[in-house]
Amino acid sequence: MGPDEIIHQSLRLRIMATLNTLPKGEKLEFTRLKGLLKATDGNLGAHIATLENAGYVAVEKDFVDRKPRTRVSVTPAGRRAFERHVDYLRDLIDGAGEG
Amino acid sequence: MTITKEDASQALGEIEGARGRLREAITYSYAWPYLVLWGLAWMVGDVGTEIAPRLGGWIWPATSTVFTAASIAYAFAQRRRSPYATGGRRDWRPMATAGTIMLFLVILTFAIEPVDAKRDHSVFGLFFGFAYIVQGLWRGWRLVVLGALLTALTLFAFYALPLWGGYLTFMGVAGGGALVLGGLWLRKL
Repeated sequence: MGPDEIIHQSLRLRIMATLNTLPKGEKLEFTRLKGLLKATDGNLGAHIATLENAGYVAVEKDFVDRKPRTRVSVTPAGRRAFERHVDYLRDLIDGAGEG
Repeated sequence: MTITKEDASQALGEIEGARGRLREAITYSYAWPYLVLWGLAWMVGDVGTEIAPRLGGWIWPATSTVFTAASIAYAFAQRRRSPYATGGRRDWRPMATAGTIMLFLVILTFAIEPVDAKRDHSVFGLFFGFAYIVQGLWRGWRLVVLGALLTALTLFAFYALPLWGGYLTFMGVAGGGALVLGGLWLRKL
């Protein structure tokens, strides 16, 4: 099995790593994710959209005290894809395969 | 897509870095309100004891009771959810951890015969100082800094100040103040 080309981009990789660290069912606010990853709104939004289109993350928008809120979470498919990609990276380092 | 071993190693490093930053943020988000609260408690307890020594035996038990109740009320009000995550189930572990520590300190207080008031008081400062250092080694460097500062302040006060000649006021203001400012510093992350 090869690398996941959608996940293997620096910011998308870190997005997936962050969301996968949350307990199952937990969501992370876009603003918090932006702060953790030190990304800009546009850059983060574009990469989240790519991951959402791939079915790896889910984006939920609502309002809290009349203020818009965007929350992101990893999907079951996204968790599996991320784990497969991490396994691939580890196998590569261990010498089991070539990229 | 070609990935070299070096690319893979770098990617895994980025993954661990991202995971570590989230864990750090979650730890700080849980910890900061209680640091501020108990920093204030420390100020009230120690400065109050120095100002009103006749009430000394009652001030800390009363302060502890009030601030413990406040901590529990805050925990329930916030439903113990990290502001970094919403929608999941409630996490009972922070409350259980705090309760365990409190129980340990209560047992310690009653189980050990008081010998020297300043020494006995300093044990608490050193205990929390080292506890923050240990927790910080796993969860975030800011806790290491805070723990080291508390330890240093406690040791300085223990060796340099007499019990009824500024020790308590120093510990209350400096130690309690360090917790309050430390909590606000953690909140910024």
